[in-house]
Amino acid sequence: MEQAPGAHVGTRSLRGLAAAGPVEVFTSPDGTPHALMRDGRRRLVVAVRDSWRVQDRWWTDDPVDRSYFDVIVEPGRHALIFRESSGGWFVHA
Amino acid sequence: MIVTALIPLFPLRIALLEARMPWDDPIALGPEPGAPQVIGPCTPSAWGQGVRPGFRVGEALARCPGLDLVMPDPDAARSAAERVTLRLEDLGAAVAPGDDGESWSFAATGLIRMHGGMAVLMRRARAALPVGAGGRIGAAPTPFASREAARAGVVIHQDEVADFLAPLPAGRLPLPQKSRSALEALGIRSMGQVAHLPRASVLDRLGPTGVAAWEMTRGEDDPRISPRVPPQPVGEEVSFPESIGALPALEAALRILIARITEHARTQGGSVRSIVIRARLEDGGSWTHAVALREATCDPRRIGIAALPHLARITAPVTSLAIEADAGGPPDAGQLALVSTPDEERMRRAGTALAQVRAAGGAAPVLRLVEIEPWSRLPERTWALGPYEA
Repeated sequence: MEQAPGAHVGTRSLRGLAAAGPVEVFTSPDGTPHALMRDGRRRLVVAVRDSWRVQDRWWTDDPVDRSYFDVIVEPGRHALIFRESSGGWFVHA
Repeated sequence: MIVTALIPLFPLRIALLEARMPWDDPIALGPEPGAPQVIGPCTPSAWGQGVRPGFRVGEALARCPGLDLVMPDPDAARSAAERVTLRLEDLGAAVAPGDDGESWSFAATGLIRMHGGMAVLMRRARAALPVGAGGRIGAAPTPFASREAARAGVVIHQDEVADFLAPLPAGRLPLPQKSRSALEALGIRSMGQVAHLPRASVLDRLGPTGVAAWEMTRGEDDPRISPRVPPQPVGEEVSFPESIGALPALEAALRILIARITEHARTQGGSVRSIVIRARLEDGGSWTHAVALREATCDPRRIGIAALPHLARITAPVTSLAIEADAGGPPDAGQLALVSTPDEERMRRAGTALAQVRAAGGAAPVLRLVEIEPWSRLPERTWALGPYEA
């Protein structure tokens, strides 16, 4: 975009919340999370509060297919993790 | 003498350029999202195969099975037209851009001596047009004749206007469709035939617009044009990590942008006279809307009242939102109130507190939580943090 002298052009971005980052997860034979690495330490999953599947944005070039687990890990912290259909595990911040 | 620069099918050319599609293929400008399913201007190749602007999409494809449709890009077309206007203004001209986005007119009075003659002025005006876009320059004593002269690329003098216009088709006159049909029904095909009609008959059949067209054909229309006041542009843009369709999120983003441009306008010692909202859409197209304010102001709240309702017209998820404003208004725009209301006083105090927090910790500590897609099942698409503007 060409601007006249003295024109101001700026860019301000919105920052997304709850961005997902990769996490190392150890699973039981049935595929449920058994433990995960947090803060450089292996944390056991104390309880799986809920699990569900999300298939979304299938109409775009970037479809979403995730298996979510709402878990409590040692020492009583909450984490929302999911496994992509491609196999990788991620945790929401 | 009025000089007109014309680039036929300019919005189509820009859309093709943006989409990297060839000019020689049968291509037409497709309908905008949400608009009636009719096509816009088409390339000469499509025209040769019977396609005409205004056809329904199905009819156009039936006539020309190889027809491609290109998505309109009003944002890019507007930017390109603005660049042409600025280049012509660099010649010293007071330019009046045409409503069609493909013509620009200016009075040559005062410029002819400055540039050393009409021929030199015409040559420089032609050089100001984009290379390879098929731009043409013409000049005539009246705006309408000047535009027609530009189509032919000639200079027409006062005593030649009527003869020049006489053989041209009457369909080019700026008349409503009903009046054009009436002329056709009467067997009137050329402007010369219109010019020879009695004025009273034209007024009786076609009304005041018909008389205005009749005067044009005789070279007797108002020779003045209304050049624009060169704007003092300020602009801001916000890009989203994911495309956004939720109105509250777009409104929050626009509020941020409005606050920024009013700051810029105030810094420049002016006030905002008009704004243009531009949105880049997820599917590759764009949406743009111009809002002229009733009076120049630097009050973000008043600009928001005028601008925010238009966001509801955006028809697709948005990847970036931008605002451009003309900050050429007077610095003291807007009458000040003698006594502040309690709300204004609270906002003033909150603004002071905010400024102090920012002075202590920078801009980052104060952010606004913005709803992106509250219905989304993906947590990262539900909320975002944006700059807080008091």
